[in-house]
Amino acid sequence: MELSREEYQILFENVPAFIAVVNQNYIIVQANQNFKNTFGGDVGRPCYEAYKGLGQKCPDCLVEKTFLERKPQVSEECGRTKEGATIPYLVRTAPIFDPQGKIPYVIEMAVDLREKKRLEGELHASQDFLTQLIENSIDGIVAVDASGRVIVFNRTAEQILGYQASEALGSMNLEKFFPKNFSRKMADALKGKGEKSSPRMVARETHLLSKTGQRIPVRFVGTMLMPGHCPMGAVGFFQDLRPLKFLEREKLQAERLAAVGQTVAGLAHGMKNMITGLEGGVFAIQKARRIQDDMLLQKGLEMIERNGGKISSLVKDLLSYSKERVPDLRWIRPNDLAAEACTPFQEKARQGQVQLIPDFDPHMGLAYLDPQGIDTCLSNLLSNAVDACLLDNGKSHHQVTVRTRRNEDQSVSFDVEDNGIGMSDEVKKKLFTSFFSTKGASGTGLGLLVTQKIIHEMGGFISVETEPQKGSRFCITLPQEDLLPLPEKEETS
Amino acid sequence: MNSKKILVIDDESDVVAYLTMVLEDQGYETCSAKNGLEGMEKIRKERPDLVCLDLLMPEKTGVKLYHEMRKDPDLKNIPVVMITAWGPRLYPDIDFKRFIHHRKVIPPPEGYFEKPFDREALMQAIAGIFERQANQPL
Repeated sequence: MELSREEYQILFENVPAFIAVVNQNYIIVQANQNFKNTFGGDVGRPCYEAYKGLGQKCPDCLVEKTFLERKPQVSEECGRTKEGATIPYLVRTAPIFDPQGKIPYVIEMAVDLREKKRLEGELHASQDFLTQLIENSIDGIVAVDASGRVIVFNRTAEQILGYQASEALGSMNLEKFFPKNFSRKMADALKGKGEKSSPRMVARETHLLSKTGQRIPVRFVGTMLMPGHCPMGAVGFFQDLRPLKFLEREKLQAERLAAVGQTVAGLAHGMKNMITGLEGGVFAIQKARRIQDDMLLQKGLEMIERNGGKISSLVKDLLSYSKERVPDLRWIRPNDLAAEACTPFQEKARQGQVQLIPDFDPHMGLAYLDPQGIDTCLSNLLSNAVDACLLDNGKSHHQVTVRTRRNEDQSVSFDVEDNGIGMSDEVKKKLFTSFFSTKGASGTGLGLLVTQKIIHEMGGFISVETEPQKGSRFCITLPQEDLLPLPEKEETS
Repeated sequence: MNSKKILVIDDESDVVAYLTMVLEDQGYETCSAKNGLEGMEKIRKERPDLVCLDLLMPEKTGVKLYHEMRKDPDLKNIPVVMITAWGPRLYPDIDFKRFIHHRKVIPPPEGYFEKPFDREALMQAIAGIFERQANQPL
């Protein structure tokens, strides 16, 4: 259907664009209402004057180019409204051919870019604001796009992890910047596999590896960005916990020292008995020499040995308890550790008719632990367990079971269970809280405190179940981080 | 020769061994118990002439045993010498004898020695207690 002249006229006047027709002298011969309203360009004025308020033809004049090249041109220009305001516009020109093929006129069609520019400006401002927000956040922020490529790596992330943003941006190695199990779920979700629900990891205390291989304790929040059902990307926020951990350690150390201060009185009590024992030994030896009694001499020597040994243990425990200790982690076989810890107690157990039963997990394998620390803890627990059996008169058969287990989350558990004298609720409450010994002067009272300290230093925990006259079970659990790649496995003997 | 019987109550076996040796050296007869419960049984059974008493013990403390002894008409006249790690050197601000001598209702012990004790002083004190007993009108 062909449009009539009137219809073309309506189109010409009402199209949402500025239209002007200029002749070879750049004079406007026709203009639509929009043009006239905006630029005030009356017919008869030069186009350069109407559009831009210029006194002569624009450099790089698009109209001139159109006349010369005889084909449409397009360009983004900046003009001036009739009120004098700046107006950006996109102009497209086209030659108007006469029947002879000459070009008497060029038509200019321009679109107002003010709104677009305004929106662009707002968008840039908004983006700048967000960028500033991200860059100045005290949390490290790492974000990936839908293909799993890192697109955000802020200043704080640089500071915490030691990578430059330039090293991180564009990387697709997610495990470098996210905790392992979150990065796995994230990778699945981005590929469209995995759970339907959006993977989210909330405020977990975990570790990230810095560029230099240092384990950085962080609090991590991670989430997929899925505005609809399609994943758009993912983001992780992490907070460096080192200052907090430092303060925590200081506080713990202060508490420990305070406890030590409090227990000095209690320890002095224990030590006085030991000193009295030493003096007793000396007295016995002196008398034995006087009356030539070899058995008494032996008794005296034993008293000195025993009490001297106790004082030595006490001082060692005290030092151990008050010092902060960094665990010496290495790859070891927990089952071997447990077996070795039992060895010194075989004789005492046998003499007291206590059966030592090993119950080791055949699937234990290697674990990343501190062998010295664990040996100290197991020795303490075994000593207590055997003593509990020796103190118990209610049963004919006594046994101490030493168990090792590999848990589902890969953590390692050590159990020491006895069917000895057990403990009342009152005793159980005091167990880990202060200098306390149920063995009179024979225990240092610090043994369990030292054990607990060592376990906590390894990031593990210790628990106890007990019933009077039935027995007790102490359980140590040590994590094996599945959130962080551990050092290469080496078999160390 | 003395034929007095002395009961030594202490949870630390080496302390019991030491005291027993020293007392027997002086010619006393000795018996022992390792906590307050056992101690009370032995007191009733053996009827010692004097009790050497430790304070901090499991099962029943020496303090409790002492109170019980003093409340019991059968036992209240048995002299007691406390031999304990508590004392003015550790806790200078607390008058221990007063602490044990509860509201002046229970009389204080006949002797109070801090560990590690002075052997000579202890023997003299015990000898003195028996001497005073002997000189008392019936």
